[in-house]
Amino acid sequence: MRNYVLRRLLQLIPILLILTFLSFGMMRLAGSDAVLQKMENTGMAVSQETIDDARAELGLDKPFLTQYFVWLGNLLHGDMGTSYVSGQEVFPTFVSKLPATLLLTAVTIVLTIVISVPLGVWAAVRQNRWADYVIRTASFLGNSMPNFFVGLLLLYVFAIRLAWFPVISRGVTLRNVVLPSLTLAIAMSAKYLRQVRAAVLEELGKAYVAGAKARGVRFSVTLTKSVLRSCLVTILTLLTLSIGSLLGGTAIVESIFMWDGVGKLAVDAINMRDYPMIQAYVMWMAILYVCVNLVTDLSYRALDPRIRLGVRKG
Amino acid sequence: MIDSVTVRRQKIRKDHTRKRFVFFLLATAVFLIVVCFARQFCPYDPNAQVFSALEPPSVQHPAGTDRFGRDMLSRILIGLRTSVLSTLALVAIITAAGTVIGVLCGHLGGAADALMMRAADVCLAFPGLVLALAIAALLNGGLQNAVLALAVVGWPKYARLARSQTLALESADFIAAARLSGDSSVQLVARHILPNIAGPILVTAVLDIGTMMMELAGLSFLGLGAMPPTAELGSMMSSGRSMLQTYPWVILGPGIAIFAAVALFHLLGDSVRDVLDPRTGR
Repeated sequence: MRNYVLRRLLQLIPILLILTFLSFGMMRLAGSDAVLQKMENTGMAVSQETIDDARAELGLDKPFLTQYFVWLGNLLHGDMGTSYVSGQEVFPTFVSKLPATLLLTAVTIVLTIVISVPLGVWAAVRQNRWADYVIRTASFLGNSMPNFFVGLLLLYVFAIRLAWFPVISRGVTLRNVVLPSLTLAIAMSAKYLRQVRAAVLEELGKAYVAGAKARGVRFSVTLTKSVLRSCLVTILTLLTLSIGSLLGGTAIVESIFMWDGVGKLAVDAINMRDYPMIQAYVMWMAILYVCVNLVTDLSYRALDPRIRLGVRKG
Repeated sequence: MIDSVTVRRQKIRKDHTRKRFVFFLLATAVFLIVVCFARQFCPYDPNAQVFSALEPPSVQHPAGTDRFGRDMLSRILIGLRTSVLSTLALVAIITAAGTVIGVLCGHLGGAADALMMRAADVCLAFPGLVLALAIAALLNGGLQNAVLALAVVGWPKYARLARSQTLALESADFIAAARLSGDSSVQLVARHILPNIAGPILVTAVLDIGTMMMELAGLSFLGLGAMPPTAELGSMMSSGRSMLQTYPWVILGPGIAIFAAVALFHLLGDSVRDVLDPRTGR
């Protein structure tokens, strides 16, 4: 186990190098006129000399690879440059907004599990009965609505009409997190519920379920003690698979609900073409995602000793 | 006795899936025709700012008017056209590119295979929408660039599918037979491999249309897609956001239009899967 963890951590290094290199390269391609951009914002005419000076100051006259390693070195010290727009340092700004997004993500995941696991199991147990049809229809509807539409509908009904929640969330509080996380959870549950249902159905079709029934074991016991336990790994895997789209989804939902997290920060940065900020967002989200995937892989081992990862098939 | 009942039941179910598929195929065809000829179905010019602004839905304007006094129904129809056509282009691009790359990788193997699959891994290492957001921002927005951004994120899925399907076929006896009878690589791929992997890829592609439509509209919603005055559903909803409180139809119309289109594509996708791949689903 320890060897396995070590190997996975070592494998992380090239991935992180590639991720950082791509983030750097992409934004450098776009921000080659970072200086011009900065000068334009001041609204004054500038001479070529000033531009060259500024380029030299930012190190933009050096070769690409040198720039990358300098940038990477700074990155390790938590220095990701300054925002073109506000002039503030990127990294501290980003870190200060991160807890809000993490809270939103965490609440969403909890809501998703609370909504979709019981409903998915129920639908599977009552396959092709009315409960199954109702749950599946609901899942289909949720699956076909873009999250910004769901968000705006929730905003209209619960914030504007019923006034249960504030229209614009001021501050990161549990009351304010309800609507944005519900928006994300609806879309996620819709997808996830089907997968839970399918996983449970597959397990229910196995011979031991019929065997237990024949021996007179109560169905609720078979369900909780055997079926759900063996579905756990599948269910967990599928959940982490959707975290990628959840991270992207936060950008839209945060900007609808004015939730002050990194998603909104990124959308604002995109609208202002604030490249250092966009870069920080893309890179940290990717790193977060890679780490989540790693933790998932490791938790397989803990949950199911039969799985011998590391032995790759085909 | 029991066997014949089971067989009959299976046959009934098979007929049922067929019928469902034909129904949704026809429905989609009708929908696509309406969308393609949206101009002809528009009651008014979608860009003419000639009516009073923000009128609620009425007989003259079934979906109301927007803040510039444009007829919402006409704009929704044209917006649907923009969204649907660009989504179809996107899905066509990623399916074609992914399949070509995947089949070549699976068939040729070697360094090219390793290189392309690592490239796919890198694309998949980013959370999809985040990467798409960054690329679209990098390319300065615009509908074409949004499509391109989602294509960069979308192709690896197809490449991996096509590659694994091709690899599975490579060891089949009939491929060996074709090779022995002197088929060239090109003939082998075109005659034997492509037709045999087309099913699963088609199912994936059709199932993807709805999702891609939502993601594309999402990019537009964030201002990274269609530019005004082009009518596009995502950007229409984005610009209507501030008026949600008093004029909800500005949001509801385009929202319902996206929802309906995505739902139709999802239903079509499910029925295509049921017909082509009876093992999964249900």
